This record gives sequence, C-alpha cells and structure tokens, in this order.
Amino acid sequence: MSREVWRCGWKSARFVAVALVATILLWWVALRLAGVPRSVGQGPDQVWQYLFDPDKGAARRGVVFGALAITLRDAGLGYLLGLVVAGLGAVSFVLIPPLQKLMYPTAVLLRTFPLVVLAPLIILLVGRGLTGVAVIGIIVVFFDGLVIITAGLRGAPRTAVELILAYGGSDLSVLRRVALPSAIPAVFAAARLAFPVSLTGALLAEWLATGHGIGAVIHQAPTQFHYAEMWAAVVAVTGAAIILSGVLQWLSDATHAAYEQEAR
Amino acid sequence: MTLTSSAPAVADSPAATAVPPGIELREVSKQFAYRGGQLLALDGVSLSAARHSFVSLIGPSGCGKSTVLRLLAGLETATSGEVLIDGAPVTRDRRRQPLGIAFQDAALLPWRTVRQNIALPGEVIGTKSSPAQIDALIELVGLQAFADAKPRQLSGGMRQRVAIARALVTEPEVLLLDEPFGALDDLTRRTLNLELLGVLERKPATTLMVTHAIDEAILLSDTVVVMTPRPGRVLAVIDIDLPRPRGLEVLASERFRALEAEALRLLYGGMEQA
Repeated sequence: MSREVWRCGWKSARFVAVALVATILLWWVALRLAGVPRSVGQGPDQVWQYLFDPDKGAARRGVVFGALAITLRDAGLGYLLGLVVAGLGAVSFVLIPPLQKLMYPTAVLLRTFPLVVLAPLIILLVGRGLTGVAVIGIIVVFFDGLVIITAGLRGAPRTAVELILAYGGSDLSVLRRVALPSAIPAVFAAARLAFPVSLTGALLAEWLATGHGIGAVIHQAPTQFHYAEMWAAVVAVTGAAIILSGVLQWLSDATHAAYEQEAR
Repeated sequence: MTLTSSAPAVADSPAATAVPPGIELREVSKQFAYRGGQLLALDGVSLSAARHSFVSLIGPSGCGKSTVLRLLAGLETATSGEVLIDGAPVTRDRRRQPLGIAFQDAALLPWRTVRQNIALPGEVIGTKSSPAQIDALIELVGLQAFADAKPRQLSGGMRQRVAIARALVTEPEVLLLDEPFGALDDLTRRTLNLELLGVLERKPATTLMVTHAIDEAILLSDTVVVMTPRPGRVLAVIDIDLPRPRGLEVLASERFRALEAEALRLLYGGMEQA
C-alpha cells in the first residue's frame, strides 16, 4: 500500500521534472523561432537575472510571488467552491433525476458561453471583489466536475444498488452505502482536471476584474514596458501550475491505486 | 395450483392447512415498456411454495424467472395479479417482511470486510445485527479465517458463501436466490449446494431459487417449476419426492435420474412448442 504511494509519487516527480525542462526548452526555442527582440521576448536567463538581481531582486520577487499568492488563492477559491458545487449538483441529479433533465441544458449553456463574454457580465452583477472571482471560478470548474462525478455516482454496481433497494433501503441509503464510495475515483479525477481550469478562470477574473494577482501583472506590465516583470509572472504561475499538477496527480494516482486494489 | 411440499424437516411447523404459503403468485403478469412497445415477460403465472419448502424455477433464458424473483423482492411491481409472501402482499418494509436475497453476482461491497458485508442488510433495515450473530453466520458458511478479509482476497466460491451468509443475517422467513451458484465451477457449485442443504436444515426458510442447472434444482428442491420461453408461463410442476436429508448419494439414485430426465423432457418440449 505505502509502496504504491511512493511509486506514484516518483512517477509524479518525474512528470514535474520533465514538464519543467520541456517548458523551458520550448520557451527558448519559440523565442528563437519568433525572432522577437530580446527586450520584449525575454528568455530564461533574463528572467533569472531579473528575479535574482543583487540589488532589486528581493523586491521584484516580493512583487511576483505576492501576485502568485493572490492568484493561487483566487484559483483555490474557484477550485474548491466549483468542486463542492459540482459534487452537490451530481448528488442532487442522482437523487432527483428530473432535476438533471431540467438543469443539464443550463449547465451546458453556461459551458458553451464564451467566458470572456460571461466574465464582465458576472462582474457587473456581483462586483469586482472576491465574489466575482469565486463565481467565475465556480462556472469554469463545476461543469466538468458535475459530468464526471455524476457518471461516477451512476456507475455504482447495479446489483449492489438493487441489494440495498431490496432490503428496503432509500435512495439516500444507496447513495451513502454504495454510490458515494464507488464515486471516489471519479471525484479524484474531477479534482485533478479542475485544477488547470481553475487557474485559467482565476487569471481571467484578475485580468478582467480584480486588478490583482498574476492575471493583472501579465496584463498591465507590458503596457508600461515592464516585459521582464511580465515574463517573471508567467514563469511563476507556470512553475506553480506544473508542480501543483504533479501533487494532484500523485494524490489521485495513489487513491486510485488503493481503490483498484480494494475493488479487485 | 397447489404445490405439495415433501416435508422439509421442520418439526415445529403447524398443520399445513393453517399456514399460508411462504410464497404465492396468483395469475401474475408483468409487462415491460420496450422500444416504444410492450414486452410481456410473465403471462398469468401462478405458483406457490409451502412455508419452509424449497422451490426452484427452471426455464430457458429470458423466460422471466428472474422477474419472478424481482417481483418478490419488491424491485418490480406486477402489472396484474397478486404476489404474496406469507399470505401478505409484497412490501419493501423488511421489518414486517424479512427477506434474504442473493444474486449470481455476490454483489459484495469491495471496501467492506466479510463481516461488514454480512452486516449490511441489518444496517439498511435499521436492525443492527449483533457481532455474535454475524460470527455465527460466518461459522455457518465456514469462513472463520476470513472474517476480516476484503472480498478481493476471496475466491468466487467464498464470495458466494458471504452472499449466502448476508442473505441469512436478517433471519428471513423467505430466501430468494437468483442463480446464486451460476458463476462458479462445477466442483465449487456442488460443494455449495450441499452446504446450502445443511444451512437450510438448521435455519429453515421458504426458498425460491432461479437456476439453469437441472441437477442443482432437483438436488435442493421440494418442487421444481418449469417455465416456458417468453412470455413466461408455468409449464409444469415437478414434485421432488427424494428423501431428506439429502447428500451426494442422491445424485446417483434411480429416482434422481428419472426426475432429471422428466425435467429435461419438459424443458425441451416447452422450448419446441414455442
């Protein structure tokens, strides 16, 4: 069991290392191919110099990582709330099937509606504060989660479900005793997929609404010719995304492995 | 039609006339909606099983055998006719109508131990089974060494034993078995057949078993009901007058082979008619 956990951890660590190296290589190659001036299209070496300058480095790191902290908070908010809403939605779909018929088209509509169009409307309605960030986060995260978790709940073994029903169990009893435990791998899959989406949502909300965080830095820095700051912000958020993806993959794989072992 | 039970070794059973049948179907029909039309699965099925007798349903695939069980388990409702357990209409209220159920698929919850799986019906009904009661059942099906094992650690036969123990945990008056040994190899199946005979001698219950295996049906039953292909009707009722208690030697007896031949004849006759 714990050996399995470490094996998954090693796999995720390799994934993170490969992704980081590949990203840096791609970045470097793309700049060469694009032929942008080095002042605009800054490379890994320049970002390093910018962030670790003997005089100004500390202050710059403060700005960039401060912005990253805000972005991660914004993304985390949308991530958690989105997954909670998705989970509650999936449970209510399974308990009240007509609700699914009623709500599903709305969910699909929200999903197909371009976020760039939707986001300003949401901000208009709920304001520029954290509420706006949260609502945008929920909207981007919850749909995939809803679909995956609903499928996971409905995928509970039929004979086990019928056994509970035949013993006079209610739908709630089926949910608690069979459907929810069966859906655990689906919940982890949803949690893993939701992360990059929540980050995109947070960056967009920051760019369009709050004016804080990496989304705002990337948007505002170039207008003041602070290209190095912009690139440093991109590096910070990309690195954080890759590392956190790795951690989530680890958690998800380890749970899945444990579950598979149980189910066999 | 009345099926006569051939004395299933229940000493304390009152006079047969006073006791309603453990299981009774009166002119039961069941229609399913199917591809916009109606599918008649059961057509006027009547059968009854005397209290604490063992009745098997045999018939070709799709003859509605399992539908009969599902009606009795309260998982389906009859389109017409009456479905009675101990003289009362079926209900899913298991405090009033304690049932035991086992399917071909043991349907064990993989995240629960053997003990916890056996405890499941009690939890669902809200009449928690005592640890001692569960231990007794585990001993009854010979799984003492695996009480705290997870289903993945068990063989197919052991899982089915757990399913049988789970079916007995509510001390049911009626036991419904849907091809409980269908997925097992012959040797394991026969072993479990004999074990079930022993279990029912100690814990008598009116039992209805659906099976494909004629020999298994005859070995275990007081009565074998042969059904026709869809729509399911009762083609014949065979009284199994083999003496009890039964063991492996029954399989070699003249009478057993005669009954087997008769069941086969009826089964194939029914299929040719269709």
